[in-house]
Amino acid sequence: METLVFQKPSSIQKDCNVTFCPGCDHGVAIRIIAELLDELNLVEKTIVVSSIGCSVFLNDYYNLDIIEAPHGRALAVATGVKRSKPDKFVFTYQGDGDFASIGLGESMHGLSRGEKVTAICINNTNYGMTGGQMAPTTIIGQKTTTTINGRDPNLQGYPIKICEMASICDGAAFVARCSLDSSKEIENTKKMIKKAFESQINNQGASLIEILSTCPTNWKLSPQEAHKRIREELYPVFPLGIYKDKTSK
Amino acid sequence: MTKTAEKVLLKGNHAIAKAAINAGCQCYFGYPITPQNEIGEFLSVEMPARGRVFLQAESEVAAINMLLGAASTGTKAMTSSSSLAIALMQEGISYIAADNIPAVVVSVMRAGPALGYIFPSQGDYFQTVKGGGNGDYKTLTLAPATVQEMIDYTYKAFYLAQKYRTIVFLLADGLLGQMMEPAVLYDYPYEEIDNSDWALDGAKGRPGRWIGSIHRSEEVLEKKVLELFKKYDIIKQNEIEYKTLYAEDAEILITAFGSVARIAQAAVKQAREAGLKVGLFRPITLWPFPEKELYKFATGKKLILDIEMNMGQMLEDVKMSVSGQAKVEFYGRPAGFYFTPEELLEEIKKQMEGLK
Amino acid sequence: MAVKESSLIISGYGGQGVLFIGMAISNCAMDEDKYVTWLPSYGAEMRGGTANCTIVIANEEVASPYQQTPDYVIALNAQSVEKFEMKIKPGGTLIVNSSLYKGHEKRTDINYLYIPANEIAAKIGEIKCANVVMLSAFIEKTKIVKIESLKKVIRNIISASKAKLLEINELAIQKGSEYIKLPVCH
Repeated sequence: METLVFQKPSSIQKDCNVTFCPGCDHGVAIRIIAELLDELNLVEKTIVVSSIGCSVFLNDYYNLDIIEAPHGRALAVATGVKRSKPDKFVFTYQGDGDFASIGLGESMHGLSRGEKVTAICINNTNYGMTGGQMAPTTIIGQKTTTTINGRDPNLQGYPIKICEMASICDGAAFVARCSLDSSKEIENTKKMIKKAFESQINNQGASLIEILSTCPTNWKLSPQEAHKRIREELYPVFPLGIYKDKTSK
Repeated sequence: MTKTAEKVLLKGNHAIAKAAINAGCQCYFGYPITPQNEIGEFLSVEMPARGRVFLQAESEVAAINMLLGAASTGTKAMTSSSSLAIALMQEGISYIAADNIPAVVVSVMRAGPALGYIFPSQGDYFQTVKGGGNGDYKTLTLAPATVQEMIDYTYKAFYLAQKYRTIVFLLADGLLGQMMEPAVLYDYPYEEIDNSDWALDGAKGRPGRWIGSIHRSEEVLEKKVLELFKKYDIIKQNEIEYKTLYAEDAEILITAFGSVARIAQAAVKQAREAGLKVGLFRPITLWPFPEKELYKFATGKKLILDIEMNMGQMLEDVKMSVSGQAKVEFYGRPAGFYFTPEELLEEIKKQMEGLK
Repeated sequence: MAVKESSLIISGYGGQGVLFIGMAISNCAMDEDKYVTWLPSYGAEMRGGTANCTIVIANEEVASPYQQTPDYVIALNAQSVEKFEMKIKPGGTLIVNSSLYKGHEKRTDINYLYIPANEIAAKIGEIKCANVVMLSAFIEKTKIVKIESLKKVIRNIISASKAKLLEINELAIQKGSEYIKLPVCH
């Protein structure tokens, strides 16, 4: 008797042609979300809001209903989707530039209004798609194509702490920061996303998962070095953990 | 149309809001700005009372993107705003157009540029008809001139948006929004359009649907734009609307839209009483502009006099349509100076003198 | 048929019920199958000082709801007289709330009509009805619409649950129109 031990998640496109750079964590994030959609039986009621950045090609990977939001406006678009179809499951998939720079207003207001949607924010501390410019999350000293000598707080100010900001939004039900730098952290990230998804299913409010992710191409590091950088350089600035949890109350 | 309802004294902004409710608008997203606040205030009470959505957005940028989200699910939805705040919406408008999704935007113009003031104006003809967003797209634009027409064309805006899966502007001004006038709020007269073949509602028993504007190949992007313009050609063939008054035998033909057209109409009547051969051509769809129709009426006229509450915006479409078949002059004022029929009659007489 | 059009500006302090009586007379015109427009001063102006609205009543579609030179002005306070006295069309009429204005007439080519509206309203026990007294006097004088229409409109606007308020407003209509019929008022 055959036993099925491995299956592609049902919402991943057949003949999916992955165009992310080698070693990029986007693919992992997309994959674990797809697994959760199956596990929670959400595939047929999901509407995804894609955004601008490396996340824009979501339709190449997901066989789901997807609406593309203009840069930064994912939470506003998600609000429109969810308010018009309150029985659907809605999540955004955005980068840190989209979520916390150009879209900070929409993000904070969406969370504060307690929209019953989940925001997934991939934080790779730079603008990956446009070639590695400084992002709102670029850490002090980090070299980017617009901070070639490293981010100087006197000139470019300090990085934005996404989860810390989001945690003070009363409408947010679940806020957590996680990482994809090891299989243990990948497992944990999946757990966190699951909690966020469940908070939406239970109508508890808005949820946000910030995922520290690699950008080996623009960081000019190998995939292994990139994951090492997350642990050594990003953990101290962006500590992992649950920043807000109203789900058990 | 079933005009069974009674005539009531209605404010223009309220007429829009009430018509939107009758048209089946399920979601309204907006941000306060004078002179259109009555729309949002009214809907903030009446939409929730019907189990529908009213949401005051954190900005016009957010409002247009909420509209984009709701429109992508095939839900009848609208926003309303004014001039400088419509400017903030232009990116989202371009997306809605590119995405082939239906949405209604009400623009109650005020005087600009920039902050200007809340006086009525027609200074946003270009903004609406020529578009402030990027790329090749068009916005179907309806310009009412009375409170009754605020109802008529709000209904039509919802219908055309659904019919063509396109963004439709209702272009009014502060005067039409703020004034009261008797009007009949009859039932929504149009058929409902099935959207089950494209709207996002979860990929149940079918492949996922993607609504987006990014296309990584020149061939695909070009094909998408050409398809968009095929649709625009159909709209041009079917939906051009205009009105005329004494246009056939006129020596001077006035062109005017929206609230200015109603004043021009009175001036034309006064001119006729004074024995002057003056007529009126009033485009109701500003895009598509009634180019061929105006060309036909303009041919053989001594003068086309375009009158607008701005420094000459529709004027460019008028000139293009007239195509040299007649001389075109312009009379206009910016900044909310409202014309009186007498003032326009003086101008007509002056122009007539000039022709001799 | 030639266009017959009358324009009226009603002006006063915010809170004197200027927009209300504007809507009331607009409703009267509508009920009598006339064409009518009502346009308020809006925006920043509506949050301080004077409020005003413009009403145009005609026998065909009103061309311009906005009028710079009205036929009639109902001025409920002194500032309104100052603001509009010079703008009235020659041959037009300025209806002044003489309880709040004691100035001199600046023009000889318009008519002046003085109504001590606050005193009349105070006598019937509700100073807030000064606006209705003014409107009623105006209608009685000009016959632009019928007093009967005004009574009907006021009955429709003020709900049955507010019987006392309706009664006082009906009294205000009566007193306003009676005042016009007094010989003192010419």
